[in-house]
Amino acid sequence: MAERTFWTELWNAKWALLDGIAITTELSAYVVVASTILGLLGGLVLVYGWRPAALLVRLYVDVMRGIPVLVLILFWYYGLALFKINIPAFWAGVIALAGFATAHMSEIVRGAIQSVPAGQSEAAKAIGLRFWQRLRYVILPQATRRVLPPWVNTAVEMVKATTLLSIIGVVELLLATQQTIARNYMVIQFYLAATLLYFILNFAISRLGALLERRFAYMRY
Amino acid sequence: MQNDMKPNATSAATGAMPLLRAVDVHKSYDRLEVLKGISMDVEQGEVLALIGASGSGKTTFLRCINLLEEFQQGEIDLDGEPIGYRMTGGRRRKISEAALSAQRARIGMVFQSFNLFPHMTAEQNVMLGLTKVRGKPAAEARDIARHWLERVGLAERRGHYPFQLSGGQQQRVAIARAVAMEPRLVLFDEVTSALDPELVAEVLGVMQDLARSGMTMIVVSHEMLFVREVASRVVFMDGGHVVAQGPPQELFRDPESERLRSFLGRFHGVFS
Repeated sequence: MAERTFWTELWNAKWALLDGIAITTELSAYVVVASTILGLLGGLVLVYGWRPAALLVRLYVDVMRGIPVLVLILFWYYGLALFKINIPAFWAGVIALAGFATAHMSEIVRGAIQSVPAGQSEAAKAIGLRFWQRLRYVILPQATRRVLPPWVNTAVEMVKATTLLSIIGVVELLLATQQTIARNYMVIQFYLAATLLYFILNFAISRLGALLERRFAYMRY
Repeated sequence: MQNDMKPNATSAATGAMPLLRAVDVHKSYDRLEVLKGISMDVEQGEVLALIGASGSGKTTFLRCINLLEEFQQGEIDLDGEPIGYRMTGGRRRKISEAALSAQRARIGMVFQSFNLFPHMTAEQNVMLGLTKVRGKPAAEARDIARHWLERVGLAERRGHYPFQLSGGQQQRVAIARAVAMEPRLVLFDEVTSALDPELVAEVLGVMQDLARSGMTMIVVSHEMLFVREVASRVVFMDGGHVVAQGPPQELFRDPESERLRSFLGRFHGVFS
């Protein structure tokens, strides 16, 4: 029998781990895209919305931010099951994380829009631009630059938060790693490997963010 | 509604409709009333200077004209059409966003703090309203933008971003942005107050050029030499009222109002 090394075990576990990476990436993509779109809407409602709608979003944001993510995950998976509503663990996880991240994204968008000086909106009004035109051509391009750093922050947090879904049995990278470790007992090696993979994923997002920041930087001194 | 009131003798004499007519405009912030019934007519081609101490309401009134500030009572008409509000069933209602935007497109405005769009070049700043509001094709809008940037002496700076321009240059781009829309009148809100003294002249020069070309202008300014030189009429405001008005020569030489006399006294040397 051949000698059991980390590399042979890694080779044996390659499909399990690749599946784990795929699930983690897929989860993260759904969560980041959904929370970005919903957060943009939430932020717009917070700043410009009809008062009762804005209050509703405000309530949502404050409630979501006050609840631990893990509790949200358990609610969507086990909590709803109590009422005979069964959501697959993967989707329960996406809903829980996206719902949580939406609250953060809404606040990020609100802050970015409000940090654009009032004079910008006034100048846009003065040349006769309508509301959506002011938003599209004047306000959002300037707000985007301010959204990017905290957006990257939240996106990276969400990638890391997908590990919590191992608790409800979603075989993402962490659970796939743990299952591998259960077979070969190479605890340190495989946790380090998983750590490296998470780092690569998040580093890629950070670089993407930095790239976009340069793209939207209109102040080049 | 109140159009039979004649707030000013000029239009009654000529019989023509004034370009802009304000009738009894009142504006309050909560309990604080900052405009206490402002009425005035502005004729086509006039350069009207609004002067007065800070807090007198002149900037607020200027901002009411294109409804950057709402006002609670009275009426401002542009070419006989009430701006921002309409009476329906005896109630005063705001007009739609689309209708208000269309009205604003006929009124240019230049701000104290320039307010150029920082993510656009000088040329793009001027083009935005032409393409998105006037619906002009990009090529035509670019030609118009270049024409006006040249007119304000910035032909070579058209590709520069605002942060690459001096304050005086930024303000000249802002003037080009306003006048390129071919507005019926242009509002100037203390446009030289944020500029270094040596940059003031280049902006005032552009404004004088516009005034000579027959542009109707309402100018809030503390530049008394400019006002005396360029304005066809001066309106002195104090405490939310129009206290005195007339041609600058008459008004400055022999101010009847005690308030105006003490206000002008602060510009010592200018009127001696």
